[in-house]
Amino acid sequence: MSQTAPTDRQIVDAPLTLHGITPSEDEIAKLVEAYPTTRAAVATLYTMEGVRYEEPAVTFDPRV
Amino acid sequence: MTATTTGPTMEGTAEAVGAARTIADSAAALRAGETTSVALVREALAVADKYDAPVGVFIDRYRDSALAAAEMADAALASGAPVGPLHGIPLGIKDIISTTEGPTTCQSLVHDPAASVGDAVVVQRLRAAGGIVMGKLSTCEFAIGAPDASKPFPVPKTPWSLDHWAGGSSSGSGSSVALGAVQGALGTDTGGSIRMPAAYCGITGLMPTFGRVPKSGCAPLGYSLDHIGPMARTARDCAVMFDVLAGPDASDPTTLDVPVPVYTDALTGDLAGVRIGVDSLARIGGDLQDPALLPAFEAAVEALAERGAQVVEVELPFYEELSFADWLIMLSEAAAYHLPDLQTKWELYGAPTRATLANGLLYSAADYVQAQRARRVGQKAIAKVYEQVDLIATPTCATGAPSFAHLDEFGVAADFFRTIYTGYWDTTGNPVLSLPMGFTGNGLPLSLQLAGRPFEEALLLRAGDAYQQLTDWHLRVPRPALEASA
Repeated sequence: MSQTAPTDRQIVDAPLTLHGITPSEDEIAKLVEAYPTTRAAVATLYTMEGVRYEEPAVTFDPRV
Repeated sequence: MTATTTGPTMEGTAEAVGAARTIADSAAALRAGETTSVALVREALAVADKYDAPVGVFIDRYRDSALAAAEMADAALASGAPVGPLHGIPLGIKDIISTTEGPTTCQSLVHDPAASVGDAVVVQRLRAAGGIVMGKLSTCEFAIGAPDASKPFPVPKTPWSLDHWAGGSSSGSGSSVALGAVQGALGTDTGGSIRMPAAYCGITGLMPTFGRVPKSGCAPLGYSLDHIGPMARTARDCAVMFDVLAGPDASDPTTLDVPVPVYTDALTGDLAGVRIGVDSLARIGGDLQDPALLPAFEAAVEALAERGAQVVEVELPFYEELSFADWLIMLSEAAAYHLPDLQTKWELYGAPTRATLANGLLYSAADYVQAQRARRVGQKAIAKVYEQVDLIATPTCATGAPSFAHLDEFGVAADFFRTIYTGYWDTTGNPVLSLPMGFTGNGLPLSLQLAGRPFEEALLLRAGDAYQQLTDWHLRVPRPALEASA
């Protein structure tokens, strides 16, 4: 079954809708325009040397 | 090489060296009976009366309470009672940090009741040391927005040129110290918000190690990245303030119980045996770098060597990835904090602020965790570099303060962030000191950035003080030509 890849606009719309945010069309257009660059930067975080099995820099202390 | 007192400055806008007041000098003069706290406060008020409105320095000024506190400070001195290191000194507080005198606006129409909780722990510490709170200083909205003339708040300018931004987000903290409207200020830093305005305004700013200074009573931006630190004219003044700011507090679970030295005791002026790694970051700034930057940076490094430091070339590992991780983590954490207000008060936020916060909703939970994993990789990589060197020197920014016209062109475009060399260190959590190191051809300050190992602020401040014993860039006092700007 063939699927059509979602557009950047659809990808941006989804989390905004999910979180109940209602930017203007202009504001959404700017987010969509920046989205490919942003995703490319995110992708580099998954391919850094040594990151594959590293622990995240977050800690949890069960004592309150 | 000895750095000189000459250099390009904006004609008619800088007072001669010697006009600058430092905390250390004022404290000594107070104790010697050569001045009074009331006189220092009145002098600071006079500067603020003249420059606050055109430069966009304060959100609120506490004239009456400051003068009353100064009178009490003078009475205490006259009585011979023991006094603290900041006794009678006029200080300013970035308006995302709470004080008892008035509300904390976070420079926003979005009223956040959690931002006004009486004195934050850091303000309590400054007061306990005798500091006098002069007012709340301008910022970017919630420490993340951009200059926004559409909102009823100051548009912060660098006092070196009123056509240029003060930097953010500790904007008023930078401009107030540069002008002399306060002698020291508190700033906060999540991606460079102490160091960028320190650089653009020509003052000194310290971002401490993450966890060194309690953040309770400060509106959060990025929970795992936020720092509060001192901004002042000199590294010595930052050390005086840091002596009372550093140390854990139970109210902030991210603070760490690591022994706190007396930072002012570390200021020996000597850098013999200190190894400094140098990275100009020219590969990042590229053609965006100001032509005066590299010569100024090289002269600054020479001055450090003249004080005894050994200088070697290094390259910051994972620069691009860790700088971006700072951005991703900051926006994700900020979006979580602001989401309820974004849903119900969207129009009350400034357009630049809400656009940036909305960007934070576009990252997935996996992306956030991955950024925190990248952060750990980065910590280990930079720790390896610190096996070879004790400090790392880079420029703070690639340029002087950007013009407002330039900012409008940039918007939140990536090019602007290529000129800011600060976010990397928020990701790793290391302490960093920014220091004036010269001027651009059109008279805007340039800045040196020194980064140390975690909790080694004493060495950072020692190096900064040693550098400033050879230079006087930090003593230049801008005096904007108000008529021309108007």
